Amino acid sequence: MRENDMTVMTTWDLFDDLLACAPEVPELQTDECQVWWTSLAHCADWHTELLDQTERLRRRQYLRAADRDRFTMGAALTRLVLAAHLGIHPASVPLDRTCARCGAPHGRPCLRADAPLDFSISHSGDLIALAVTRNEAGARRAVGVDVEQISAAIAGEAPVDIALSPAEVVEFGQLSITARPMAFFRYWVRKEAVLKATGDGLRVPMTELTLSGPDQPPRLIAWQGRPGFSGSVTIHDLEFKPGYAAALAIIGRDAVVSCHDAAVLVGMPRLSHG
Amino acid sequence: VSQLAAIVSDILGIPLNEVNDDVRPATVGSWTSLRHVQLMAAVEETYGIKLAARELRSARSVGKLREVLQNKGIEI
Repeated sequence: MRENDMTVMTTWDLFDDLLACAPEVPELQTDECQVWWTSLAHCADWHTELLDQTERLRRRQYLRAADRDRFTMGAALTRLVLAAHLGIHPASVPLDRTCARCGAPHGRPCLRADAPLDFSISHSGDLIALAVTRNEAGARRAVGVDVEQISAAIAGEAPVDIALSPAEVVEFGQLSITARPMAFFRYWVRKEAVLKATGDGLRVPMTELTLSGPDQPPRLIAWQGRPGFSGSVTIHDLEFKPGYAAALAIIGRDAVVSCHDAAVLVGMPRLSHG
Repeated sequence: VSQLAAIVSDILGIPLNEVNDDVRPATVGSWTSLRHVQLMAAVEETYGIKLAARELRSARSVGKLREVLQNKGIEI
């Protein structure tokens, strides 16, 4: 208990400073999707103070420091941005990580069903990205974001058969060897973004989705078993930095995508203790 | 050292001596959905088997992956 009390006090001491940083987060317009990104290098001790008990437990389960930092940075970025939009303290953002299937706290983080926002988080390598949009009467939306560090080793191997539909495999096979890594990761992040937005995740085989070619504007062409769904999802390619592929999927009314470097928001050196 | 441990170590980028049944996405951050797919593809190739969609999804730890393989008659 004592540790909890102290944590709360420390966190609330930061509140005024954090509110002062809220102008870093522009107001989220009705038809906007904000994408915030940052680097693992910005992870600092005070980010841990923003985590709730469930997140601290999850953080501790990771065996390596870099994995703990990556998780912490993602949770802190989520809390800092959502808090600004909800007008509450970052530590008070009611994130629920309950797995819909087994009840364990390792599920996709979400707000309560009646919350006015929908968001999605992704990290890979040293990049962390958060997408947030309005989800309220008149603007019902779900978002999914995915970032992946591009690795030539992966794209040349069998994951192609697990990730791509038969039509896509044919198209992929016509690409030059050098074009394949980027093409594979384009397919991957676009599909992963869609499956995160729908909440299906890995439960749906990626081979059931057929997308436009990797060099074409992203579009869901067909979803085996969900005829007619294609029209309700829009996909946007994102670019943060070289060596990464990233995509955003929006289900519902499309939105204008704005990208924001969260360096100042998560940096806030005046808040770092010691 | 089992072939399975070598595959896990290689794909997740962790030392061989850290591979045990409890290695799973919650303990090793490099076990992302992409690495999961890569892992399953490597297992299929190494053991010459085809995993069903249900098996692909359920093998969310080294221990569970070992069970899936054992159910196919492959002893690790």
